[in-house]
Amino acid sequence: MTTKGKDQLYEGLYIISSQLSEEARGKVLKKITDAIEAEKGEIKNTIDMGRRKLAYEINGHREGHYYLVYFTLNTLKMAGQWKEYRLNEDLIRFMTTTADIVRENLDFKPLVAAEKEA
Amino acid sequence: MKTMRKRRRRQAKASRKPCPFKSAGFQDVDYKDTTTLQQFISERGKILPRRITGVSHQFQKKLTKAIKQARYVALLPFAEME
Repeated sequence: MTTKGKDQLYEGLYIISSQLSEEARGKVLKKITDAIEAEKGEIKNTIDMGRRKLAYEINGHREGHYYLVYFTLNTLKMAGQWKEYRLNEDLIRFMTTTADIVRENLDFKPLVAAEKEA
Repeated sequence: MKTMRKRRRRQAKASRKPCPFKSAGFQDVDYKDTTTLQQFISERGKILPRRITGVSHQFQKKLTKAIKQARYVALLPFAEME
């Protein structure tokens, strides 16, 4: 039995070392997006979440630069991407989750204000 | 015995708080929305029980998942030391 998989919309959160220069960071991100495109994936949107302090230390890193990438990829190709990510030393941490929509920004509805209205 | 009865009656009268997510019209809980998530964790970083926060069963499951995802990507702490 052969399975072809299907295209799925993913949301990838990547934490890149903040010790790198802006140019080097861009290269790391480009490597990630190029690897997706090489597997016939499509980049839908990339959001720069900026430099943030990590809630806990990861491999000696206290800060990281967060990037959010929305992309479509065949479900069978995702595991191959993770293998690549684990070899990348500049990538502190990554998490890919399935997504329903492509976000344009990170403005969230405030919970408290909405409560007051209701 | 009298006090027991009184207490029971008082418990029966206590009404549940409405779910803050449902009343605010939320569809899902996002792990990137740390300002919202922080309202449902203790000072030590533990997830608060829904009997305290009044979150519905459905949203507590979504909330727990979101907090755990946020912890993995270091947006929230696993444990905050005193």
